[in-house]
Amino acid sequence: MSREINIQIDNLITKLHRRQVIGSFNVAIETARVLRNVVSASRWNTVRQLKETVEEVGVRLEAAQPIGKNRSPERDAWSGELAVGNMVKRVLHLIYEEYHALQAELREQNPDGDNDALTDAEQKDELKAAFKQGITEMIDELESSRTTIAATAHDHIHSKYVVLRNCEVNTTAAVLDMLMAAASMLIEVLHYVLSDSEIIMTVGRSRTVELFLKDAAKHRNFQVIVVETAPFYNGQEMAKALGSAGIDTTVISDSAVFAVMSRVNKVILGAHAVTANGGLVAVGGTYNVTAAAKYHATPVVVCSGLYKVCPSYPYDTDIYNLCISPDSVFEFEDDLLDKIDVVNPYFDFISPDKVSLFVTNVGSHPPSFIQRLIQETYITEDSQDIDSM
Amino acid sequence: MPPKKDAAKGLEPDEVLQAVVVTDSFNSRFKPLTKDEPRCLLPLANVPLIEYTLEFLAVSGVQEVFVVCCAHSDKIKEYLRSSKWNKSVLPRVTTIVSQELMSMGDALREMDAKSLLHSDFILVSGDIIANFNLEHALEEHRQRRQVDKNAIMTMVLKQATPQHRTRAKGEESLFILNAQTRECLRYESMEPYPLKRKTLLSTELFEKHPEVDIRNDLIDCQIDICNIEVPALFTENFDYQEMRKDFVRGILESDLLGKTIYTHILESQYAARVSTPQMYDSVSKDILCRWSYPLVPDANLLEGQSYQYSSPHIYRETNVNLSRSARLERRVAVGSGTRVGDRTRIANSTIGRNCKIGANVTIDGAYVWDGVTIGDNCRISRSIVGSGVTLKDGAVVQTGCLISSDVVIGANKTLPPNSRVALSGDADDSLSDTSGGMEAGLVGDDGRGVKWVEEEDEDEDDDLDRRNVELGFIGHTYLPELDDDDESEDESDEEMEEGADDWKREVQQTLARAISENHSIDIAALELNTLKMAMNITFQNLRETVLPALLQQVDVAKPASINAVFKQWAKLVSRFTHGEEDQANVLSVLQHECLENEDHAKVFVHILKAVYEHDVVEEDVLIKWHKSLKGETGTLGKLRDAATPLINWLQEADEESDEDDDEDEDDE
Repeated sequence: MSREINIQIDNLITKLHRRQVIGSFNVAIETARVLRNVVSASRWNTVRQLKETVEEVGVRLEAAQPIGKNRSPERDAWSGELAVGNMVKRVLHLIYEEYHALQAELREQNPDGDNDALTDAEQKDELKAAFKQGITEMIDELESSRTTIAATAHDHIHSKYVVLRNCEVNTTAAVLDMLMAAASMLIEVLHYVLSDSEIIMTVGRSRTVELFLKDAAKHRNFQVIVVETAPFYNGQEMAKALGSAGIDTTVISDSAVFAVMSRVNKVILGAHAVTANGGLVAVGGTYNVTAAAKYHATPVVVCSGLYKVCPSYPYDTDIYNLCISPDSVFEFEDDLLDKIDVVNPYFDFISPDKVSLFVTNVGSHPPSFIQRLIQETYITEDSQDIDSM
Repeated sequence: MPPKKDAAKGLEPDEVLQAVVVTDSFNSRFKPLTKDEPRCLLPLANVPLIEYTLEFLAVSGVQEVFVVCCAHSDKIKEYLRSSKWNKSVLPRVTTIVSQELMSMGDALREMDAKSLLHSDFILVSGDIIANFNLEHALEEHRQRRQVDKNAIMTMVLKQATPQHRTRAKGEESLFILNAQTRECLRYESMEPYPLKRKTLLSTELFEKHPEVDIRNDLIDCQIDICNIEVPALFTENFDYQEMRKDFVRGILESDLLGKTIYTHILESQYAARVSTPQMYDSVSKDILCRWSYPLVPDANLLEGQSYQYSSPHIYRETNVNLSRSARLERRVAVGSGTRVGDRTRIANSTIGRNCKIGANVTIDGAYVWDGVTIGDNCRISRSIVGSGVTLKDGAVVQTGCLISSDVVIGANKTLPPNSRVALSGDADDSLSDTSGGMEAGLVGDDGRGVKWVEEEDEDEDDDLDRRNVELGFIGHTYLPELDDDDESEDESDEEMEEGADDWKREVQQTLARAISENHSIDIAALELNTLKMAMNITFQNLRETVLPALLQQVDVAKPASINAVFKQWAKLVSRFTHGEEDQANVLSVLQHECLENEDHAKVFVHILKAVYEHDVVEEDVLIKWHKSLKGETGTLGKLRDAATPLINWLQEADEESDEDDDEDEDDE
């Protein structure tokens, strides 16, 4: 790897370390850009070498994370910003796919030849271009993921009941292409049919959810209740942002969630990360809301870019958390300080049974479908045959 | 913020945010631990202190850091060269070595001489742990500078109750601030021994500033944003040693410089300075309890660290060999390669790498560094155990001990509280003869090490009370009052009076010299003014001393001599008498003096006449004073009667000159 690339990597590492890049979106984009440079600027002769280089960079980047690394540091290293690992695995998957496509092509042209080694410089260049193209597309997808999610907003803001019935209708049709077309047609109709004023509840400040609701407001008339989300009060910021966009917004305290929930039609949440089982890592205070929603059988919709979906299983949910300074919840001045421990976790872990639907930039899925998404997106155990390349 | 800074950088290439880290503390609070190791490399929660400081500066957006080192400078240099800061681009870290430094003042003079600083810079010592956002303080400082070029410094202070655990006991200070602008008006250090019960504030302070805060709830961790003028001022005033006691006081009390110092008060977030072993204890606890987040062990500040966090505040590196029956209770950090034996209990402690801890050991509140061996059945409480130390089976270390590297404590030995043990005494110490006996006594026959005896001739202040240093020991509690309350009261009163006598004597001597050597008024006034500033007294104090001294010069038998004395010296009194209140004060001082001394009382009217004629006191004030004495009897009455002829004469003269006015009044 050239010196320049190394400096770039070190820069990102220090930024991650000092938490100068925060939020999974920013982390994902920064990581993807560095990886693109690694792929285009590093020297490699076989795809296997490239894979190793990318893996090595991945390990370095993940080690930079200041918080809660996995207890078994070998594989699946969990880091505070899961997005780093996600991006690395996605790029590896991309390399794998492109390589296989090329091989298949070569086999078609020359079924008897030995295709394992990339002897042909032309092929290599072609492959390299393909990888770069793939990563660039991935970055584009990343950057547009929020708007893509937001564009589907009007599909989700209305009674869940109607959507389910649509699905039944479409399943009987049993034609996949038509399903999509029909669904969007129906939804177009629904715009007019439903004279709705739904009540939506949300927690904290998620950019994705903010865009989602603002987009939905173009088509629909609804009311939003924002939980203020102590002790950071991101909810208040969220309410301000929504209010200034002309959405009917109410702020409630965290303790009022259960009381209000009976009137809420839908809970829409953002996520910090989505785990392989369809669970959710989200800002502290979310668990409270999802538990109340479950009690009242209120649907919970999670808006999340694909880059937040990570292929690790939450065997121990504690390590997904981040304990920050107790400053915001407890007076440092108190004389009790010596006698007690104050723990201030930043995130909540929400198990998949509390989530009804995930809305990602590639569509909407139930929690059980996350597994499938991961297989399609990331390099996994099954695709390890890249080692034989 | 970063993009904004880049833009600024583009415009003015000189605008690089610089910081100066002074690694030396210029005292020996941590001896003998700092005998072979510089203070800033002492591990705190298994990370050298300076890492926290540099990390804090890096996060604050500092672009260039100068590390000024003196003691063990080679070690600091070596450490920085091999650390990540060597290749760090932002900030650039440069070490500056100077063996001659004796104080903070020397360090700044050194910086001034090297002229490496270009604009405002951040001055910290190498033992700061902080997570607050310096941007706000910097921004405030810059804005103030644009309005007021004389605002040369901003001190960052953390708010905390007086009994707070992260307060360096024995090094407290009192800040007197303008409540609105947060300008620092006065600074008083407040060592608990001897306890100061009084402080003098001039009334001018309250005239100039409508609202004044007097605060002792501020932790001063000595993070200062300084203007480039600060090192220059240190160079000009070569006797300034300490930042607070000399520089801040000097600047604030100098009328000539006209410079101002402001404060930035942190209400939340964390900032502390590891200045004493007691602070080491407190700050370690804060780090383990995550108050200093993101500077916590699982941030893995050092390359190759692998700490992970788990509840309740347990931090473990990989490869820690913990016996099944051993318990890490709470607030514990354990480095890799460490083995912990059966039924051992560890709480509130940090354990370094590659330690061997035996069975049935109890460790509570101890800071055990790398490579320590602890035998079975040992007990350690609230102490610092240096790297490579061996505790043989059954050894007990009681609260507050500092055990330096490679010491061996013998089997079943008990170290009494606050023991300091080192492998050898000070190199130039001739105690080695006696230490043989000590050795066996303190660490046992199979141990290795001697009791650390502090050099008599420390480079610390001579007036530093030993008890204040002892307050900095771990587990040392402050005894708020001496046993006998009255006694202490008397003592402090006596001291006050002694202090008062000091300046009185000085003033009297100065004046006597002026009279005998026939100095000009200007010189005498200058001398007295200097004295006023140096001794921290007021104009009123001066008047109270000077007037009686002048009266002493008078030959009571000859009233003419009064006139002669005042003719020469009245102007001096006028120099520190401004306005009617001061003049009234002159009269009351004279009156007081004449009440005491009958001879003077006899010539009272002559004295009054003299002060009137030589323009010390105006007639209005005289008349007013005379009126205020109406109805008095006894000696005071006599004085008034004595003055009556003069007053009558004055009033008549007044009426004559004011005839026109009176006529006007009559018309109406």
